Amino acid sequence: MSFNSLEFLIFLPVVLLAYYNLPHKAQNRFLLVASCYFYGSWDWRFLFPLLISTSIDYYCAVRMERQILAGEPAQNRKPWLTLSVVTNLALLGFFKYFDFFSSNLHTLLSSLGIPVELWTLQVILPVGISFYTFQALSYTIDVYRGQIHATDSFFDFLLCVLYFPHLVAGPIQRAHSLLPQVTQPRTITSEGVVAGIHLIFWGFFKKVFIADNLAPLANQLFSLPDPNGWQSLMGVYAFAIQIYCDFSGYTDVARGLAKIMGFEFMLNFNLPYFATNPSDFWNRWHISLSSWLRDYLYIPLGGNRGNEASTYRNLMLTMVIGGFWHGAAWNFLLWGFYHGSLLILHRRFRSAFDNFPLPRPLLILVFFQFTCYGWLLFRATSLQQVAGMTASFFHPWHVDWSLAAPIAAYTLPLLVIELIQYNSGRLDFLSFRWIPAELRVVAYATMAYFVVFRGGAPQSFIYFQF
Amino acid sequence: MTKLLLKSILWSLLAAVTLEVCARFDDWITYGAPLLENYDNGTLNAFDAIGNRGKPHARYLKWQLNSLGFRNPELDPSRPKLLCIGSSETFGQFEPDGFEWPRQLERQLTGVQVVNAGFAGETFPTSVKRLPEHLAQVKPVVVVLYPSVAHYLSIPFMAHYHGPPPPPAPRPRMQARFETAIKQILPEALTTRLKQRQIEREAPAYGPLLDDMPPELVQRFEEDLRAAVHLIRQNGAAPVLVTHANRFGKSVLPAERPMLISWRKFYPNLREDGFVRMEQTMNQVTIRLALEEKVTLVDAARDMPTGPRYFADYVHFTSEGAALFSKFIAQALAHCNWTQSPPCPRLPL
Repeated sequence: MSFNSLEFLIFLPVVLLAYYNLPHKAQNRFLLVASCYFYGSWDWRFLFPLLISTSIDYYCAVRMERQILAGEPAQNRKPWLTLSVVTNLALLGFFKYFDFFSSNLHTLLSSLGIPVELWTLQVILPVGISFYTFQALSYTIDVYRGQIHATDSFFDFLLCVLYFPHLVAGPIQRAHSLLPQVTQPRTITSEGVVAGIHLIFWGFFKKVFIADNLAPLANQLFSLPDPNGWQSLMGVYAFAIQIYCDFSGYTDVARGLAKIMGFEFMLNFNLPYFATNPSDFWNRWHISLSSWLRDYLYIPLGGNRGNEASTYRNLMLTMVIGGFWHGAAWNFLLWGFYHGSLLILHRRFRSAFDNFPLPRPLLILVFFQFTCYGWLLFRATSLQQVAGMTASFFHPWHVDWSLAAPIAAYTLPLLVIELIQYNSGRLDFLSFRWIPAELRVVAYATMAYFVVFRGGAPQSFIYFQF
Repeated sequence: MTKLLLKSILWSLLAAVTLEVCARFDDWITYGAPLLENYDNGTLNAFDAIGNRGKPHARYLKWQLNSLGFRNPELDPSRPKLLCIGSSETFGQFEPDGFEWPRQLERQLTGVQVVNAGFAGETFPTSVKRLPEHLAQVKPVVVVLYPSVAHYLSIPFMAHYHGPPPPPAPRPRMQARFETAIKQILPEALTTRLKQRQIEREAPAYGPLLDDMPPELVQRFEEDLRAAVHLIRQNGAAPVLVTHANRFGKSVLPAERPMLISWRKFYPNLREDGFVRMEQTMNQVTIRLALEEKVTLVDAARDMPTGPRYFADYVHFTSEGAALFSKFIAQALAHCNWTQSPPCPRLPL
């Protein structure tokens, strides 16, 4: 069941109706059942790996908490942390990466003349496994570090992981933020509901009207066997807008749903295409993942505490692993490597970058091109395609404005709204008190029209595959 | 409480007005539709002494008509013409613009302009009445007749034509959009049940239920078809008859029954089991007449594969179906040399 499905349109009002009429404890139990139903509607078997990892994480966290309370040294907690980390990564590795490593090993051995049989598992990847694994890991690591207390309620922890708005594609919520919202009674305010509704409408508009309408163009241009430079550029632009609207649209709907239920999710996108450099971009794009990688990978690796070379190594490792988190394919590794390289270059020449004599809008435009090249690496289905499309930029371009027109048309509303957001410094612009309610109704009705009657053919959310 | 209620009513009205304004601007930008007038498939209709016909230069969604009211580019005087007569199957319902069978046929024939004079909802008796006018306008060398035979079932119940109807009352554009959206959302089992109930409600008004096309209507069809063939020949053109193909073929699969019910909604006086029989009866007439009159026959009913790949609904083609259908006709005309006069001296039977 996806947010943009008919089933969800029935599921949500039923859930909200019951939720608003239940006391706090019963709300939590009900949300847990609803979330299980939501997740199980993809495939009920997906619940098993989730329940296994969550149970082990819960148990490990409880054991570590007891050790902390008993004043035992940190090294005594290590076995429990190791058990939790190994379990989570083993499940992720089994479902997501086994076939990749197996087929690459097969290719390597075959090329060395060693005959081996290709052994793949051919299992279905449970939806959202990368998201909930990282979320559960952050919980046990935070308990290990003594940054949060372990919860003694398994069901509360389970709800933290399973809560349906963020389960399948984030934002990757940290336990220190979400757990108290689960354990303590929540307050539902009219401001929260208004802000939530705004996010839901804007999220659906981005996903259904912009992303789903651009998807066929991006797919068509990325499937050309021998594109010219213009076709490659338009394909990359179309995909850049599509993936942003798809993913940030999902996040907005998730955050909006949480808000109307009295929860508060972290911001996941902060106008990423207004970034002027790679560091700025990663502070704006998929913030819940980039901050997770920073806190649980980059800093433990040493961060920028060592010399320049070790900082570069840590940056590169973090970004390559971040790329690989997206999917078991070489192009995701390449995408991570590309962004790692950009971050290293930016760090190495930071003073030159910061003092570059270009006006801010031009810097934004220039860095957008670098971001877009990254999307080429991300979207390509093979390294040959990456090479072919890259080479096409250096051959004669055959400018065809009919390809640019739909991209411009669908991007225009996004650009207008984001310019308002950028200049006002507020993302929740439609929740402004000074906007009359009537104007908001007009805005919502307009968005609803374009979502329902001018939306593209329904496409699955891109990040569900991760 | 009253204030909140009033506010809610005001906001609902405002939302409804906004949606309607959006719909009208959307139609205006996308299709050049008028902002203030009604905009539905009636936009394509004009009325004359015979009945409704394509309105010259009318445009509705993907459908665009030329100066003669045909879904066709303007006539090219330099090329010989092949005229296509039929109903919505010929006019094109589900295919994207340019993929209706006459357009696809034109791409398979060199040097000839295929003229699509088919019009949605036009019965074959009306087509025959219009034929002299079309023959005079187009001056074709070949005329392909693809009659929608089921229309004969409703002929006895059609009101006598007394001139154009009064202009329709203004209708919100959102109404049709919501209706379509709801139809798409509702499960097939429910929509089929609703259609069945509508059929059950309406059927008694048509008298006793039929098992097949009544003989007098079969006779009427034969007379119309023969008259059309004679008229075409009198005008120096060669007729081509095409049997009527449908999605079901010789029998209806259980999974296809909802589609049959959708078809029956238009002809509640015929039993479900009678549709396949009715098509066969009428196609036998076409085949027999082709033999008697020595007219080229394309037995599409026999040759067209069945199922949703080729038929978007019960009788209307998908793009692929239209491509295959046009291929059969192109094969029948394969020996024609369109640069000669006459291009097809003797069409094969």
